[in-house]
Parts: sequence; C-alpha cells; structure tokens
Amino acid sequence: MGAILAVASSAVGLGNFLRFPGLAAKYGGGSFMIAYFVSLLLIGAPVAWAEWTMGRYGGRLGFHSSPGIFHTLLRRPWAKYLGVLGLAVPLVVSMYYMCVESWCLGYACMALSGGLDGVADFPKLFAAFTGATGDGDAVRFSPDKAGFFLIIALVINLFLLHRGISRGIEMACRVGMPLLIAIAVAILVRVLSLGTPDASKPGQNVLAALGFMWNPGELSTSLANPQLWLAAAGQVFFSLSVGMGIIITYASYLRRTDDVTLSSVTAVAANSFCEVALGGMITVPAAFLFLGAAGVAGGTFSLGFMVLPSVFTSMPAGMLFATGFFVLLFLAAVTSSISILQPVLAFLEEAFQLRRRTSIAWLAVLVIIGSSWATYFSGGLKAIDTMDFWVGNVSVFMLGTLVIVLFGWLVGIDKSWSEMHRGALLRVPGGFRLVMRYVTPLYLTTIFVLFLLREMLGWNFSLTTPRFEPKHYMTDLFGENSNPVAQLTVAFIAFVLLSCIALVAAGGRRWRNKPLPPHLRHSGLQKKHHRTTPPQ
Amino acid sequence: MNALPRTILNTLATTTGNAPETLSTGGWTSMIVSVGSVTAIFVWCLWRVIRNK
Repeated sequence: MGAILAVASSAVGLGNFLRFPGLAAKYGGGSFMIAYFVSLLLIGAPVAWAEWTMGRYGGRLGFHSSPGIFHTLLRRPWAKYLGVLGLAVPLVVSMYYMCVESWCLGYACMALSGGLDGVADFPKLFAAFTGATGDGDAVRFSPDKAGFFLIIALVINLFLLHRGISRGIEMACRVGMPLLIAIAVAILVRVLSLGTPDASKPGQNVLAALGFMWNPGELSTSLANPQLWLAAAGQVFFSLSVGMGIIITYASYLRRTDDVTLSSVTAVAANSFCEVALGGMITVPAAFLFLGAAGVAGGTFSLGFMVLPSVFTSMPAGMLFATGFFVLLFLAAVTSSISILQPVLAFLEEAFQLRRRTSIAWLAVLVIIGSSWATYFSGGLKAIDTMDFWVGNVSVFMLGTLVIVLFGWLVGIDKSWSEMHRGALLRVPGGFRLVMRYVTPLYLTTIFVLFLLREMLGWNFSLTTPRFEPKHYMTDLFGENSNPVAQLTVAFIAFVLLSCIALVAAGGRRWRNKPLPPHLRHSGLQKKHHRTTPPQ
Repeated sequence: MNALPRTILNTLATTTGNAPETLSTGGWTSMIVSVGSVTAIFVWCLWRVIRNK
C-alpha cells in the first residue's frame, strides 16, 4: 500500500488539475477521452507494469536506482549507463519543480492572508511574484517573491526526506493524498453548485460550463487530428510519472512475491481519477462560469495562477476556496517532489554506501544549486521552460521508451512477463504481451518523433504541404535570435548529465563483483544474463 | 505529475471553440462514461488492494 501511495502521489500533480482540463477542453472532451483511454491502455499501463516489474526485480538484488537495476538486469558493463537518465531526470526535474511548488505555496499564503483579494491584474501579479519580469527579480527575501517561498519549500522537502521513506515520504503521502482529494471534492461541490453566478450572463451556467469541457464536437474530424492523439499520449505519459525512474525505485522496496500488476493499475487509476473526475470537473468549468469561453481561451498565461485566482475573487467565499485550491496544488506538488528525489538518494546510498543523512546533504546542495538557477534566471521563465522541455519532456520520453524496450526485447518478453506475474493479484490479459513487445515501443517512438517535429521544428502536420517553422526551443539555442539563458541552461543540464555519468561510472565499480544472493543464482532472468556468478 | 511551466503557460493559450449553451447528449455521455469509468476502476482497485492487504 505504501508503494502504491508513493507512486500515486508522485503522479498526481499540477498536470492533473491544470494541464489535463485544458487539453480536454481544447480538443473536445469526448474526442479527447477516446484518445486518452487508448493511450492509457497502449502506453500508460504497459510502461508502468514494466517499471514496477523491473524495480521489484532489482530490489531483490539490493539495488534501488535505475543504474543499479539496469546493471543487474543485463549484467553488462554498459548496462548501468542506460540508467543514467533515471538519475539525471529526477534530479533536474526536482530542481525546477521546486520553483513551481514555491509558487503554489506563495499563492496559498497570499490567498489565506487576503493578498489575492482586490487584485486587478493577475498576470502582472504572477510576473512580479515569479520574477518573469526579469532575471533576478524573484530573488528577494520578501513574501511577495517566489524566492522566499522556495526556501520554505526546500526545507519542507528535505525535512520529509530526512525522516525516511516510511516516516517521511509515506507519511506525507498517507496524509497528503486523502487531504488533496477531500479538498478537491469540496471545491468540486462548490463549483457544481454555483448555478448561474452572474444573472446578467445567463449563458455562463454550470451546464454550459460542463458542455464547454465535455461536449465532444465532431468526433470523426477530431479523431482524424494527429495533434489530438499526440496531446492525449503526452498527457498520459507525462502525468503518470513513468520514464522518470521514480516507479522503479519505489517498486524496488517490494518483497519478491509482492504484487506489481494490481499495484501498478491502482496507481494509474488513482492518477486518472484525480485528473478526469476531479481536475476535469473543476478547473475549466470554474473558469468558464465566471469568465466565459473568451476568458478561458484568451489566457496566454497560466490557468492556475492567473485565470483561477481571478475566478476565486468573483466567487462567494472565494478566498476560502482559493486557499483550498492552492493548498491542494501545493500538496500535490510536495508529494510529487519528495518522490522525485528518492531515486537520487537511493543511488547515492547504494553506489557510495553513504548514510541517508549524508546523501540528503549532498542532494540538498545539488537541488539548491539547480533551483536557485531556475529562480534567478526567471526572466520570461526561460530557465524553467528550457529545463522542462529538454528534461521533463524529451528525456522522459527517452527513458520510458528504453524501459519498455528493455522489458520486451533486451530482457525478453517471456521472462519479463513471467516475472511480472510473480505474486500477481491481477492477471494481465495475454494480448498485452504483444502490446508490450511491439505496440507500445512503436507507439511511443512515433509519438516521440512527432513531438520533436512539432515542438522543435514546428511541423504543421501536413504531408501534402509540409511547413516547418522552428520553435523557440531550437531558435533559442542556434541562430541570430539565440537566448543566452536558454543556452546556459542547456549547458547546465549537459553538465548534470555528464556528472551523473561520472557518478555512475564511479559507483558502478562497486557493483561489478557484487555476488548474487544464493537463492537467485539459478533463477529467472539472472540465469541467462548473469555473467559473474561462477558456475556451480 | 509533469505539468509544468511550459504546459501551464501554454496549454490554454489556444483553447478555442464557441461557447456551448448547454451540455449536449454527447457531452453528458462522454462526461458520465469518462468520470464513471475512472472512478469505478479506482474504487475497484482500492477494494482489491485493501481486501488482499
């Protein structure tokens, strides 16, 4: 139960309450949901099963991080380097995620103290608070700046990590998740009971708001749109915390015969419940009720930090609900960020035999450097945006694809499938063998290529009249309009990646001759891949 | 989890479409099926997990 809670908590984050509703409304709720469920079956569940299985298997051999687990799965000198992304991704993501977490905390405090009441220009407030106005603008020890709340968020995270997995992470998830759902349900009830908040605008009523969110539009036209499928697959993939090394680490603490199939589905279901049943019913409908379609459509800035605060100020007892909403976002972010950091801690402990306290001290130094970077270079939120694209999107796709290829091909589908069903409380239908071996890798690769073509080269998705207009992720790095902050940030990411490779190389030397526990020397995957155990 | 600045900033930037007057039959269907199915699966999974604890 602890592992399920930890994985579900890491998955449930801002994407559930902000990103999903926006995408569903944009593509027409019904059409989007078809693509969403297909992606959940073909990408989400298979990759999650693969990660849970690999994690539990590595844990039996005393490994808890992706490099160690990949090393033990393949027993090749290069195998541990495949897991470098499982170290670098959570490390970099935690650096900028901490900044977003500090925004949630700051807005919750502002709402509680009445600071959001009477604000006329929320975009201006957001820009001033986050430092989007210019580099260094957020770094002030003042409660109206994100830098101040970043310190508090860091302290909370490190404190929870210091308390350990069961007393810190698990406790936070055990309290945080039900509290998050309770707050979301309370806000949901409030939104659905608003009726027609402004009598002069009868069109902005609850049914119309739900229609804006869920009406499917022209199904055949919508489903023929490749961008819809790309958006749905991206949402499923990014929302589930797969491809980040988090699930692998948590599953590694399971016992040999603990179930992974039902646990994995439960974590996926918890995440989907939060985004579809809660996020999908709250965010966009609330915004529509007070601002109408134009208000929702017109926001080039965030739904969460600009549109919704404005909605809350118009709502009776709005500040109460605003506080609840931002506390909800903060809880979702905290439970995610502490989970993100655990893979790095696990690696430091197992590779260098460091004590937890020492590992946390090193981790604190790394996260403080990274989050300070993201907070200082806040002009236009360029540093955070760059980190999110190259690590939170591109690298996550790469690691997720690698995991499923490892599961279905490098280890072999038969052995992986049999390992997955050890102690299973849920029998996965046999058809998923084919899905996990062929369909998921192919689907993921296709989505990844389309994602890169769109987000980097700006392809218009037309085969007859293709047009490419390189997006800012490319032009920021190359050419006349390059952006020094983006370039420096990419260099910083490369430095972190190289440092992780060096750490894995150093730490991995200890693993080379690590003997297997006796009961595993002739079992399952090891029989084929283990090369260092002397013949009996 | 990964809903971050880029998505926060851009997701709704291009949200388009005319404002509906009400929830259509298709809207009701997609809402009930979507919300109902994820809720049912979540509750069923929780029940199975707790029962086998």
